[in-house]
Amino acid sequence: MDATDDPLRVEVLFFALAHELAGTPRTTLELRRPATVGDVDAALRARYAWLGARLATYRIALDEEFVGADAVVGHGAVLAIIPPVSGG
Amino acid sequence: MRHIVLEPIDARALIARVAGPDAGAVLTFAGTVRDRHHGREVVGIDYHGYEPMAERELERLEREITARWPGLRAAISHRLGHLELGELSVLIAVASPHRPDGFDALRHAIEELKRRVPIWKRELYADGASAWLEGS
Repeated sequence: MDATDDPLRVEVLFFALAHELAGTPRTTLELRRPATVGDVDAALRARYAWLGARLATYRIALDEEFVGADAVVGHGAVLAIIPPVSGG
Repeated sequence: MRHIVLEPIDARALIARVAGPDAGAVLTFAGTVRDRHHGREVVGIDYHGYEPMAERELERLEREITARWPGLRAAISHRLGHLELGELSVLIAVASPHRPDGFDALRHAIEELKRRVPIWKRELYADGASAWLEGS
């Protein structure tokens, strides 16, 4: 188990237009414990100005599952910023 | 069975996965690369995906269809990478004892795929430009 004062690090993946706008496919965030997806959302908005207007239509996946803002994020979690999908 | 492929989709193999003597109908939906979008001339599409999650979502979608329409089998294959005009991007095969359930399930599968499976198109235009599509 992690000590409570260790930084909580998560990985964030960007796809499609979000990848292009971020200029990178992935980044790492450090969060205060306990952390939720809503905290990840806030940290991303603070770091990336372009994301603010878009996050309303983007979804966030936690460990490959769509989740809501209240989902708890643990150390080492992988989050993905999912723009509106356009497969098919 | 992988649902995400990087090579051309093998339609015969996908149909063989669902066909059987208990099915009176096998229905397929194929998505193909079109030459125009919103008035612009399209010369190809790059498909990108969040591959492990797309795999899980497609697997889950197949299971949901079987649960909602008992006795029916579904198989879905989506290609990623660069596709030329007319190539198959997605193929869905549904085997059903009866035709009406098959059509309903097929429609459900493509609509759900387009709503939630993390795959994106980057359209390549005749003038050399390209653009990511968000939503469909």
